[in-house]
Amino acid sequence: MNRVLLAGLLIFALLAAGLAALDGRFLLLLIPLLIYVGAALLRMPEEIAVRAYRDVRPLAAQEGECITVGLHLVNTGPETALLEVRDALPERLRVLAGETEQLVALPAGAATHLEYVVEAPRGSYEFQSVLVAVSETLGLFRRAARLPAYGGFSIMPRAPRLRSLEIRPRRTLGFAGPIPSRQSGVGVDFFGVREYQPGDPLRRVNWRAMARRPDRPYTTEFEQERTADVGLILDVRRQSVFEMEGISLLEYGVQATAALAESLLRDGHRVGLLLYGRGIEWVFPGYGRVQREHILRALANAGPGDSQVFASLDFFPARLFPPRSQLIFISPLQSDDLGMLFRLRAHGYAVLVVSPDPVAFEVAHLPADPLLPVAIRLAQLERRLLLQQLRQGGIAVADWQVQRSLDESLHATVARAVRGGPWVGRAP
Amino acid sequence: MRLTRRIFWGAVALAVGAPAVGALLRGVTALPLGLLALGALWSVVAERTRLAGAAFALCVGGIALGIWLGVGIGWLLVGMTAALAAWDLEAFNAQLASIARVENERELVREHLRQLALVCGIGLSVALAASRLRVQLSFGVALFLALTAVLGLGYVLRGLGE
Repeated sequence: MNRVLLAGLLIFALLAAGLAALDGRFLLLLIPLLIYVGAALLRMPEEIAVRAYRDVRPLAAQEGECITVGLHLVNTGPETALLEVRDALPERLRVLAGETEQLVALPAGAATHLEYVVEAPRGSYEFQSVLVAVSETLGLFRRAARLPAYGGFSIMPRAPRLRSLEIRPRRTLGFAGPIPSRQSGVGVDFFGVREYQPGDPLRRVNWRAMARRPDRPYTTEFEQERTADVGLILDVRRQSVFEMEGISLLEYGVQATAALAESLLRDGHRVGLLLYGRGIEWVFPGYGRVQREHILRALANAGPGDSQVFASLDFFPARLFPPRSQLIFISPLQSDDLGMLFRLRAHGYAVLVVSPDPVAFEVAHLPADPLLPVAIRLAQLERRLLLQQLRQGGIAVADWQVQRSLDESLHATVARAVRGGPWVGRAP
Repeated sequence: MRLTRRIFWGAVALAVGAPAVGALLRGVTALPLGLLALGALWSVVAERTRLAGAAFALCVGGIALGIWLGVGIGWLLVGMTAALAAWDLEAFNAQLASIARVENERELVREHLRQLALVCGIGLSVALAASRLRVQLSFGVALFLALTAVLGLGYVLRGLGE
């Protein structure tokens, strides 16, 4: 029971007993209680004259890294305040060191500092307020309020390092990059030999050809290597998100997307990101480290989407991606996704599907059951058929068993495709 | 063990012990037994704020019962003041225990104990002094004072609630 209410009830009860019994001794018993309440009442804080502000360092970190949160409180009132501070932590934060609450007698104008270290899973976290209660010394009367103390940080997904990915979209960009463009120009790979034209540098004269045909000089041509537009599409539809024992397959998809973005941006490509499932969450294509930050921040907030409109790929916004560019679809795949993927392929996009295997993921977490092997076999057959259909339609598929390295799965697929797979588009 | 915890035990002992001694001196045995049982209960439920509040209320009830049984008012006032101190210290201990970090705890505890001692000392002194006073009031004046007290307390409590 509230202490003030209890004190009030006891005072009333003793007063009533005194009146009923017409005995002043009951009123005598009241005196210590009345003086106690009166003393507390006299020193009751008028208002919460406390200012709070927060500093969070760093503002962005990778999964597994620690964040230090500092909370500063200043007593702006004229008297010493007994402060009870309890910081309001966003959900899913784990405090590793330090304290999130404090009791302190803070003199007028003085400041106190609270610092703690937290760890959090991928996501964006916002601190809104801190719960502060001010009371007089006896602690009978207190005023509590939530003081604004804003701050926040993002936990980016951890991206495993990938080797350079050999993509071959039909269209390349004008900048130098790793994709052979089938055009002569600045490059390192031999492309061909043509007749010498005035202005050609002498060091490119092909002396061997000239030795065979001494009547005219020849020039060596090199194949131009260029960058490309790459669209990463991460499937966050609810039905594509498998969760077992608190672990979500989406986390693997997010990691794969982050790793691909990092690898492709490192190679100089222009990379955009679409999170498909909650709506159109789109990171406009860009280059370099800034784009890497944009993509990682978007991935930090990626979560399952329940949109009915985007439950299938029928409303896939292909116009967001430049024609004939490279699309990489990261998804466990649904059987009705094939139609849209084939349509994209038919429109000239080079499509690579990176598919975390949901069957292997679930099997690793399922309890033993006599019927389980049959069920697994059926599910695997179904999935194998789905992937086979995609491959036959000219789409490269990296079937990723999440227990294995993504780099291995990807390069096995891409190497197979580059050797002559139908998904490889050639620059005109 | 915290200093406040030790003082709490002492206050509980005094809160039930003083009225019990007073009652024994009057030849009453039922009240001391009840008070001792209450003291034991209070010690057990310490830091469970709701039950501790109930223990304090029961203790005040027991002390008030002492008036009807003719126990000396001095014993009862000492018991009442000690019960008040125990109730306060129990809440203070609970507050200290509920928070992970207490800055400058020694100073905080010392200041609280100083305030409590002052308030309890003044309360007991005033009450003992008042017990020696004899003022004859007419029924009308007594009724007026009682109504003023009730309305005033009601006003204060309503204001606090708001």
